[in-house]
Amino acid sequence: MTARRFRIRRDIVWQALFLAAVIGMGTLVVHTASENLSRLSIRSGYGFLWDKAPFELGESLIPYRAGDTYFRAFLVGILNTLKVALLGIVLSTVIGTAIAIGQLSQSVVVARACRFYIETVRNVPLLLQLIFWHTVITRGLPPVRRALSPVEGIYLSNRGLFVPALGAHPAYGQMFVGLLAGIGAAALIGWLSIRRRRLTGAGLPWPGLMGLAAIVCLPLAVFLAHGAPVVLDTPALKGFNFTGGASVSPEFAAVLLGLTLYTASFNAEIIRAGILGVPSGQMEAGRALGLRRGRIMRLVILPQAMRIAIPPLTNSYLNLIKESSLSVAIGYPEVVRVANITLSETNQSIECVSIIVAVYLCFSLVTALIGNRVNRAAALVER
Amino acid sequence: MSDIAADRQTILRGARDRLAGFARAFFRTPLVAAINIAALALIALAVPPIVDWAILDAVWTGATGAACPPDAGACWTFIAHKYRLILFGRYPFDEQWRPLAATVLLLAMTGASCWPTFWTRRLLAAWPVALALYALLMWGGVLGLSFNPTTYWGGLPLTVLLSVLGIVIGFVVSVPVALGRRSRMPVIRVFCTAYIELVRGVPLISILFLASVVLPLFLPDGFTPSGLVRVLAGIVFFFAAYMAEVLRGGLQAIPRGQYEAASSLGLGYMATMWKVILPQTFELVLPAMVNLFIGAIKGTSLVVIIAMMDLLGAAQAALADPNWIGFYVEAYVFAGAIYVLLCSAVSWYGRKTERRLRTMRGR
Amino acid sequence: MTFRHLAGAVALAVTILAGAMPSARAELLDDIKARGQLVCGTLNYLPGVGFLDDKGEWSGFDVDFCKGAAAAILGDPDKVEFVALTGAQKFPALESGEIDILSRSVTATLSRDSALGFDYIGPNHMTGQGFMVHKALGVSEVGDLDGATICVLAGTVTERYLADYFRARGMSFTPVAAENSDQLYALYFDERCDAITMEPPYLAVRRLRSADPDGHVILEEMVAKSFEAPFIRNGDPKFHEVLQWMHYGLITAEELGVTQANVEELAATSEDPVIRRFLGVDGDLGAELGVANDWMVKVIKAIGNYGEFYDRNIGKDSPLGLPRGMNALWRDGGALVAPGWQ
Repeated sequence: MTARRFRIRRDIVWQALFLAAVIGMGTLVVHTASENLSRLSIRSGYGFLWDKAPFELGESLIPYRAGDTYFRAFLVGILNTLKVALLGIVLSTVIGTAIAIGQLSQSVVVARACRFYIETVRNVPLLLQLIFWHTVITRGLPPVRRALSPVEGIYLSNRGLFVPALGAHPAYGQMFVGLLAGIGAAALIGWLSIRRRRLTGAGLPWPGLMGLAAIVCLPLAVFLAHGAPVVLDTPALKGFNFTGGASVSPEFAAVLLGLTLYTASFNAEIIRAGILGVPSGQMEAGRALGLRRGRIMRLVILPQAMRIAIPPLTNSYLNLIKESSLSVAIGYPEVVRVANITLSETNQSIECVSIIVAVYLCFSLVTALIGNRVNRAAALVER
Repeated sequence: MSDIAADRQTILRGARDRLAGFARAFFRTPLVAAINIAALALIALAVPPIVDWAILDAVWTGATGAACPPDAGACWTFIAHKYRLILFGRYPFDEQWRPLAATVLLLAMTGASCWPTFWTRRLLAAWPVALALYALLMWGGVLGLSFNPTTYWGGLPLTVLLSVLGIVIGFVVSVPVALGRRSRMPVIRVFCTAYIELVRGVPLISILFLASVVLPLFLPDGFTPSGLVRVLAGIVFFFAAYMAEVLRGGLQAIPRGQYEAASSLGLGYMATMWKVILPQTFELVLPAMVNLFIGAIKGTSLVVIIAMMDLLGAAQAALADPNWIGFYVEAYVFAGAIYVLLCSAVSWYGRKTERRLRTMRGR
Repeated sequence: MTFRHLAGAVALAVTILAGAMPSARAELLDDIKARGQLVCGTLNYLPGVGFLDDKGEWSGFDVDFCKGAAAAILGDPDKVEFVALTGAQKFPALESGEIDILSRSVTATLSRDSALGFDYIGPNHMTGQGFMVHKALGVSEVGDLDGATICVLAGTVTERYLADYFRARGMSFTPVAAENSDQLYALYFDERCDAITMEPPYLAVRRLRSADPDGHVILEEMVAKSFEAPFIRNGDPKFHEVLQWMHYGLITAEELGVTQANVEELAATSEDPVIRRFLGVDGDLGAELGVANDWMVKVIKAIGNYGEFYDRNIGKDSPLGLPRGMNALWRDGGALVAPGWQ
């Protein structure tokens, strides 16, 4: 028998033993679990998702009341997670970029200050920061009846920030449609301009301005056509709390603040590594062309830095999404909190924890896929 | 005489040069100077009130919360009264020297293991002895020490225990997993990949819930390891996957020539890995590993969500005393400072080792 | 070739063995006696109910019940190990066998008895679910709380009762949840919510200790019964009997005037046949249950009769100072009864 065939046979034996051990342990574990579950008369299966959920949730993007299904409650949790995750991703990237540029600034004071921020925020656990911000907001801000009001209509209290929102008026719906149409028109103008430039060497005149005009003018036209209605839904203290207007709850504010500041410090390091990874010749070439440092940064360095930074940034965004689960400790109604309440009510701990795991796996998968697409699109096309 | 005078001249000149260099950097261009001055002004606005609150107006003595009126500064007397609760959790008061000694021992052993000068056989032999001594001090029950079950362990000792054991055991587990992911045997490769990708896709809190709430259902009736063991298993399970991924990156960077040279020397799989490949891998991945270690230290704070009283949990418990209401900033700053100390120490160690490896390798 | 066959045979053997593991379960009472220790799941942050202080001493109503159980089964109230549990962990810990008794002020409900697979003892503390409201809001009954923000303790049955009550009356509210009651009360007193819902005894205690006791009102109305009891797993009838009769024994002791101070003297010298039977001097009632005949002597010596047990932890001899209310003997106007002791 040749050495290779012997090795293949030996591999098969190892794998068979491994598989046997895994299957053996697996059956043992499943057997014990089903025995324990039947002994304790615990239901199995996901049928409970269609039962009525006997609890209220503090805030939700879709209408939800006690008596809706557990499935709807989980949906509320997932949407709340998405809300804080998406906003956190955007804000932490913006703040992270600013801090990264600040760290590379020629100003000694600014650079040192940014470094201090990064070192401090990175080394304190996120949970502690979340609890700290939540306590500061609920204890530091005044109670509802003594809310701060810098401007008429805006109220800040420890029950949240209340601002006026657009009331219900048919014009606003149409304005939104107009806005979408305007964005579509701007995209069309941009695409036409690029195509024309590729074919003839000269794009459309003032494509940026025309696009901006489309985005602004269409909704504005609709607005004026309806007679410029200004229907504001202002918050007013009625009974227990402010009603009307839009509000930001203290839990959401604490989670967003904590997550953003924490992730921004990691993103700043990643983006800084990206900026430093751009060859220094690029900066010199830019200066040779007579561009100021700010323009070089914006037009030459940052786009290339982003290319380097995309994989680690994707990882950072993944971490942000996963760490939003810590907000269960301050009562923000996201997926883990909903799963916790459901677990207390139905006692089906395996199913509830499996839902948490499945939801986050989906988030991770989608984020990784989007990150990969963006990475590939931004990759250097080498001929 | 002239030597001393000459030395003094050199020192003064050195200081003057450094100052001149700093001034040059500060006033490099008018714009930079303006930004610096504006930034300093902002800092001057923000820092003095903080210093006032933290030091000048702070209250350092007093017996109850009444000693710290709302308009005074920080209430450090709160920390003075509560620091033992925050640091040691609910361990019996008179016996808190035991977790203190045990933690110092553990930290000393960990510190010693980080200096290559100490890497002798004696260190390896010392570890089991140290761990036995740790168990003896914390659990007691023999030699006249009273028995304290793991439910009493808390505060900083719990954080250190979970961090050190989580990192060490996680590292040991991650090596075979990383090697398994690169194995040519498909069954093992698929299994390891599935484990790594699954665990990396879910938050640590869900693994801890699995360990503390779901795991007991899968174990035979009556056999339930203590909450501490289950939580430790969860932390190890989680971080081993991340460490395995980092190791994989390092393994990929080892040139194939190393494997070929080892096999040409007649070394088998285990010998190749242990003596040739893995040492190089560890060197390569050290910076990323240090980041994971810091992540593990911070990750232990999550056990407060499953009712274990680590440093963060103990800080929260200290705030619950009705005699001391509302000193949450002091408590969280105290706990936060300890975390910053721990993580900065690890981070400093990582940077130092990285620099030393770089000079060693001539890169 | 033979190597592979051998490997396959080993794999098959392992798989068969794994599936065929026997799983016998002895009666828990015998297990505990063999083990020599009782494991009790409880709270660790609520003084008077379940509290672990800075010095590592356990105290409280629920803690004492477990000490009594240890005295009954093992003869020594200190042979008990306490495990602190959160709201979400309490039932999984009981299910899995990590703890023998869950003594954590858990409300007894039908579904917890049937679907969740538990039995409860007693109930040994009868109260309800009430509200505490900021006085400035001028709320006098629960109906006025429509649209309010209400603090609830996460993972407790109060969330469900609150939602059910409001939904049935077409009212709405916004919940603010916290994981432990210290955090919850902090949120209420900082006016993050308008009202807080919990059993009135605990509300009264916290109000007393707050900065402004007169600024809060505890509503008379209760939206649900809350009969709290220790819980054990289904399927351990002897264990259940012992604990249930221990509960009845505490009540009987108070009826008969047996106290922590006089129990040993009574056991030695009493001529009253009822007391002699109760304390195990005559008859074999203890042995019938599977414990020592003088088990009630040990229990009363350890934690006193029901009145002493209640007053010391949450009643008039404690900082909480709660009245007995429904938890008094039937002959004193309460709802505690115990069957005859023979």
